Amino acid sequence: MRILGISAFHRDSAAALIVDGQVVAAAQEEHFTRLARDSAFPTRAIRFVLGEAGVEAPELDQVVFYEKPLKKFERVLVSNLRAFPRSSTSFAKGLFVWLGDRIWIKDRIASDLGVPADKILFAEHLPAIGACAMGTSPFEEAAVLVVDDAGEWSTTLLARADAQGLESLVEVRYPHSLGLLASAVTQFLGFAPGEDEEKVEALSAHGSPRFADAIRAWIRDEGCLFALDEGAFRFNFESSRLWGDGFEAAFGPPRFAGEPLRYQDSDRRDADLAASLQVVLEERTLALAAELYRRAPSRNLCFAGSLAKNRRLLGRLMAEGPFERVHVSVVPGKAGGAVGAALLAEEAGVLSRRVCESGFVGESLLGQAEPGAQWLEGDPDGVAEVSRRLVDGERVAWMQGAIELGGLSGQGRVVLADARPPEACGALLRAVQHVEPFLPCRLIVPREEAERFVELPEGSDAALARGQLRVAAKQSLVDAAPSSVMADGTTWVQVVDEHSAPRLHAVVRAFGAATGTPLLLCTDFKLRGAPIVRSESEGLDAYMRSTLDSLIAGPRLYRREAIPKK
Amino acid sequence: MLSLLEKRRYRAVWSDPARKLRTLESFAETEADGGHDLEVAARRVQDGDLREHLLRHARDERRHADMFLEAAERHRQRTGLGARGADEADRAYDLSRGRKDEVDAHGFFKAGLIDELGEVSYIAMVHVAEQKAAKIFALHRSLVDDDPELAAAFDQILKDEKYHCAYTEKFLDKWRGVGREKEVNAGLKSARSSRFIGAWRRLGLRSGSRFSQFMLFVMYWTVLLPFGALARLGKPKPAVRELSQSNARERLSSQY
Repeated sequence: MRILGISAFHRDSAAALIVDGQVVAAAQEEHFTRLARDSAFPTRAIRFVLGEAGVEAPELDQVVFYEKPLKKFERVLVSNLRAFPRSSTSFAKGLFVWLGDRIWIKDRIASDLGVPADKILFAEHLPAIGACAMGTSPFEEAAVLVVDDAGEWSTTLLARADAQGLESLVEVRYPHSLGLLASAVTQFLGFAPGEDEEKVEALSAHGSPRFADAIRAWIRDEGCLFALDEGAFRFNFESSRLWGDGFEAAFGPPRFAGEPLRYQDSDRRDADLAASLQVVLEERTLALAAELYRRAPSRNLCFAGSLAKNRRLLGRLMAEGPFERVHVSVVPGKAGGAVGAALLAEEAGVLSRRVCESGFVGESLLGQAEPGAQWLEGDPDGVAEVSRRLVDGERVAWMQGAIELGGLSGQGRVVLADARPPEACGALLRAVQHVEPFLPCRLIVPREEAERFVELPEGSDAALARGQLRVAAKQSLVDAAPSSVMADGTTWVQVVDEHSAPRLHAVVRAFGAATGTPLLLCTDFKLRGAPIVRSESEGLDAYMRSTLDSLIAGPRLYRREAIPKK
Repeated sequence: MLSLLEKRRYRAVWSDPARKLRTLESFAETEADGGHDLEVAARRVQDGDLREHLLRHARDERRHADMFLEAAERHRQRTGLGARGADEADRAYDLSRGRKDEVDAHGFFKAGLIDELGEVSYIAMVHVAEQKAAKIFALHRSLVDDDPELAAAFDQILKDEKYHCAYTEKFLDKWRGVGREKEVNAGLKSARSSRFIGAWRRLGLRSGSRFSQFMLFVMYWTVLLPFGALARLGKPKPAVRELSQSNARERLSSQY
């Protein structure tokens, strides 16, 4: 069976090709258009995944879109009607898009790909994202929790999955959404909703949750789950302002982009609001996990959706949740819907097998040198060169293998630096043009040394290996690498070993042997506002625009001074 | 006359924050696509000299894409506008830009088109596209003096466009000199007519989208008014719904 999964029109459009139950290629449209979080129909990603597998579109057995378009259209229409007359502008814009394009997605797929209409299927949004979590997990059966912003109607899904497939148990429906609550606060703080929630999470480390009760007051228990006070939000009719008047009454005036952020000294309003949101999201997610455990008792949990990117929340879920083992989707957001949609169309049993261990399913480095490249003799992966340069105090961009799916690069496209200097994190982020001083870097530590520096929650090995968690730092880490520790005493950590990330593990080991401190700082190789670099030439362009010291791509080294000028 | 009209339209683009963001992102996308396509073309051509030019051109296009993305990011930071895709209702332009017809690199060709067109027609098309792009970017440049970083980016891009026009012209001349004049002329003619058809189609889509949105607005206040009032009176659906349904394959054929 050759099944193409497609996600599009929200964020992170993607395509994934599954052949006989294994993901053979997957890519996000942003890899090719260079528009971060691109939501357009993923023509280029589809072209890539088909080309990678040598499959022509008419040879596909099924094409599965990750959403039920008519169901979502119903939600858009009903939401606009219920918000009458405040929805006049969003109605005209929204309906135009739907009537002109989205609702005809089946015809579009058929005509663009040249596949018969009866081969085109439609999964549901949240089950597709949940199926991706299950398919990338090592579990044969698990409870599945998806906490997202919004799918068709569903915003939160409790389900179970096993060899028979995925069974949805209960859902919370739009506009009652923890993801949208997070987006509203994100927008109130002057960040981009749906994109910058991770910044708000990082900001929360600097605050205290003094507004938590105000936020709690807008969420009530509904049955065993939750409902939002609709009057406090404006999701239904104004996307440019998701928060209601109650926000200003409770928190004061909104912050607009570009205004100073209040997170230091005596005025920490913005950080306090972020910390309050964080506490409430953690409480509600832990309650959802407890309810899911009651309905679907299992040792295993698969977690996905926009809240599955919240690293501190994941740390608490693993430490305090009822499940023994928690797997966080390799691709927790919308892009994972492309993989999950294709899995739901596969034959029974596929969900109890592991279809993809890592996100390494995108385009590989082609092995084509760019002008100015120096070949690293006897060092095909660049491991020795990267280690040597890090020991010399350089900040190094390192590209190897395929680009990973999911917007986070665990090892394929990273920027590394010595973790010891007190200002190391800020300097590394500034080198790739990131300007928010409160953002964290990821700490890379080898598995065998990890317990010396951080508290490791039980059953979290895979999430730690992928750098999906924030955990408590030990005093030894504060002493050895102070800039890796956030204001609340946690650190964003990636624990590497010779199986999960052999080359990165070799580098941090070599660095530790030379310096006595096996700790590196890491961030994704991307410039501010752009997606992670894909090809070697894109990497070279980004390197030249950064203030990084060197770029190592496969067996090639690039130094600024050796790149020929035009 | 035409350029005066265009200038007026572009001025409206740069004075509207949302349109400015969309325009910068759309430029970035076009340039990135161009880079991708030129990279594909560089792998196909036999002439080593042409390959070097195409690779350099591809790098230029990607650099331009990054410059536009940086400008978009700066603008987003200043205005607080979300990125494309963050806001479902504001993406009408996706359609109005005619994405379905894949207005790809440089406004009219698709990645890998060299396989379809052949070397000569492909370079002719790149040449025409670069000439047109240089004219358009010069117009845009004249309207962004209030944004010095963006103005500097346009200046750099215009310098690169000169080189792109020059090397493509050099190869077209070279082919003319070896008896392939007919092929070169046919390629140039076809490229110019594609541009004209593309521009006409985009104009149609743009006016169509404006008219449709206006009609939907009118409909909202007339046909939908009673339904809106009724919907407000109705009881909202409960927030929590019990399901107990399997996501079996049979259910996948439905769009609802």
